[in-house]
Amino acid sequence: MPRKPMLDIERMRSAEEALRREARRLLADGVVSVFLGHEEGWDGLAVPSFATSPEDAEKLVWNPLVAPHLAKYLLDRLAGDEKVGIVVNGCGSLALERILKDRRFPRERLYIVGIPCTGILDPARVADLPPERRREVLETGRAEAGLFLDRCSWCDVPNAVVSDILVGEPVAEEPTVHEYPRAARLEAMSLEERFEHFKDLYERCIRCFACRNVCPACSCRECCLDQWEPLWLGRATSVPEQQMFHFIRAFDVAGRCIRCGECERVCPMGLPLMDFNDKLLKDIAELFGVERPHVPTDVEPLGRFDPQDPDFEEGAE
Amino acid sequence: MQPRKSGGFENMAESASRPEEARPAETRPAEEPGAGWEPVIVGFLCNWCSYAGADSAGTARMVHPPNVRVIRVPCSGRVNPRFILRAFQRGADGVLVSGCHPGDCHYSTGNYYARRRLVLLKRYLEYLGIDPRRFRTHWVSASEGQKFADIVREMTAEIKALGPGPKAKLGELV
Amino acid sequence: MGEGGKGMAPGPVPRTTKLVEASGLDGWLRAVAREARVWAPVKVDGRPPLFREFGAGEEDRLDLEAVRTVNSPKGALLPQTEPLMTYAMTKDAESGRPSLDLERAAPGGPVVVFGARPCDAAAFELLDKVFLTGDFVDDHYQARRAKTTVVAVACPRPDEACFCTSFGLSPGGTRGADVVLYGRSGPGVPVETVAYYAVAYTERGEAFLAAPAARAAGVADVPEDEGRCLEEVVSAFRGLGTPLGDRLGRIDVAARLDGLFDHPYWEKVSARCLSCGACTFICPTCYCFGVADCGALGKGVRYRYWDACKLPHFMLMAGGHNPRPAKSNRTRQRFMHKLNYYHHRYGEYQCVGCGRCVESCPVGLHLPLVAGEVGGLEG
Repeated sequence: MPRKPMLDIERMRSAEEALRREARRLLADGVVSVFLGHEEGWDGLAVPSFATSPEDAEKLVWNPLVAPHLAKYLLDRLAGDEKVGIVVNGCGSLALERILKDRRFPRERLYIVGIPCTGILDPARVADLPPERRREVLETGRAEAGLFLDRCSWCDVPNAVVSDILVGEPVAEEPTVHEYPRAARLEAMSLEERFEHFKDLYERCIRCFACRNVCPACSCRECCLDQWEPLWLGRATSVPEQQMFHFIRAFDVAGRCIRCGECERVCPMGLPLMDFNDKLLKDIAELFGVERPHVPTDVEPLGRFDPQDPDFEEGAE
Repeated sequence: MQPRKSGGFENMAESASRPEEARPAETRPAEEPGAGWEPVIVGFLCNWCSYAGADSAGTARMVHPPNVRVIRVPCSGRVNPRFILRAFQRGADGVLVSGCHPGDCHYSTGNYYARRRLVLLKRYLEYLGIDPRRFRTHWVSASEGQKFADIVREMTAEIKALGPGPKAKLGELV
Repeated sequence: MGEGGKGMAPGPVPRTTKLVEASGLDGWLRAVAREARVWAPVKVDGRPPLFREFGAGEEDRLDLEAVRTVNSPKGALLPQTEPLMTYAMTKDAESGRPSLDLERAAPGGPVVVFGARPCDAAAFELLDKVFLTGDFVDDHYQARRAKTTVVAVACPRPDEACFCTSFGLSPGGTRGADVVLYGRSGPGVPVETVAYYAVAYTERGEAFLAAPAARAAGVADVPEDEGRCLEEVVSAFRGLGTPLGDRLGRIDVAARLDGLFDHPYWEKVSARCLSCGACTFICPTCYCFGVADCGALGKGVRYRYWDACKLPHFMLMAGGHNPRPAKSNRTRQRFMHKLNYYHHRYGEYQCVGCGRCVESCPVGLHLPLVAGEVGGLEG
């Protein structure tokens, strides 16, 4: 059964205080040169924050709207050897692990503050609420399941999987059987229906690369999609080129996707991008016996093999 | 966990996502091809086994249709999944990938990686709306010229019956 | 230049005014789509509409009630992918001499943009300044523009992201439009609009309203006793404010930005940018493009495609040098272009306050934020 996400506003408020205290200390003592967190942006929604002084640390927030993941911004700080502070909840720590396991940022340069989490709201869905309802939700924490981020519905990592210090009491972990309803729904359609579904997606996509840029698994120093020599993908936005873009995007992160859904959340055209990734996660789980394909490990499913792997020919071993 | 295996090269389409239907339907080709239309099949053959196998079919004068355009690769593990999709997008009506039998790879492990990739890719291409009968994967050794000829004969006949490939529905790149 | 807000100058003189029922619009557009390519806000269930070609699907429905479409109609004049010419290398069969055959892409037929907001229509004029004036006239753009009719729809309910009034525009503005539709019940009314006054301000607009497709859709003369009502309705739309526009006031930061090129502000504000092209591609006034070839074996197509100065490789040159390697360089570039460089060149700002960047930027790094903040900086 998927866990039911919920908000504990009191716990979040005390976590916020502790976070500010910790970030202030780290910056004042010069332990880190910058602390990555969230602050209140336009219209009350949370945006990534980069505190470089104890005064900046006062702006850090921890509330139901801290949806944006921060780990990808570490790639902007590769130069130099100064330490960087970062706050993560469970899914945020999966993003961080992805960057670390892909060896894109050194662990020694990080100071990680982990905050246990039982759910975060989807900012777009909250922004659509009438002002009174929105205020009520944010103050009381009473929010229906549909207001939460999609990733909260399957989350089995309420506690950060990597951290230097934990703020607040850990949340009890519940064993979860992972299902992939998005993929299952599409599998139940006919071949033609699926083709039309994706064709509609390709026609709406504007190739802005928001999905690629936000993805913690997409961290190549030079992305094949930016190359001209060889030209893997032209710049035309025709249906086949769009199909190739989304194919490369999903298949190149196959086995490394952390199922965070940030790609879908940041897409300006509202494309159902997890339709691609969920299918690969589902098949990798089924075909290669990986129970939790979304959790980063040292060697991912497509980077290893088993002589007993499923084959497409009988008797092949 | 029990690995799932599908049928052999007698062409049981591996439709693991909907096992109750052995052959998911592509009801009609996008447009009726003219008389005498011949499908174009792109074949990625590994240098050490499958390419040699295809070559031995030729030297033994085995008869098979000429529809497969061969691209020789050092190993089936070199085949990047995007090659298969691109082949379809550029007009291939069918794509074949063939390598050494598992355990016999010239580079010892290349085909094991390829196997994982290709098994995943077969399901994924069907998911994207491409008829799985158009994409076939096999293991052909250097001495299996007959097997190669049989594959080509069957695949050509099947794709001829299916009609033109996905490019008709996808359109031009620009 | 200003056409909005209280105490503004009177608008252009209408050439003709008609009345049309909202229920007749879908049919009207389908008829027009037989002769021209129609771009309109197409209804999408549960989400804001998309500005795209109308009539391709039988089920296409017009959506004029949503405040804005997710993307802008600029694709009607400047397609995201536009073939410019085809090329083919051939060899003479006898002499073996190679020759290069080039064929220019055909200009295409008439285009009707229906249902643009006044901000989007004004944006077309900003694009015209770039493509139709100066030393070089873009003939592809020019050919398409010459065959384009723009029918705008006045905004009944600007929302918290709208700020067209900050640039002297208005929810009832006429800039860039051949025809403007004004909801007969006036702005602010919370029910769906039942009928529109259709006012033509140009010859082309007049012809559009007199065409057979229009008459078949029930476009009719305005009853004589409604003359006064029409004037009041138009005036009410023109006088509408926008919540964000009122908060920001008139944006006039060009001169201040002259001295801010090296300010550390850009480093700070750009830190959260994802370097994607979302803001650029949904913006009605952004126009940068690249040119590329797609071909093989000596034949192919040369096309242009939308490019975004936020993307890391926008200025990457042959040889590997990138003059804008940092996010701060690129973020500065985008806002300097819109709020300073364009203003120096063309005398106005390269923004119409449509609010799409406010809605679409995943990290809230949009023009009202920057325009507001630079006002308080010291050069």
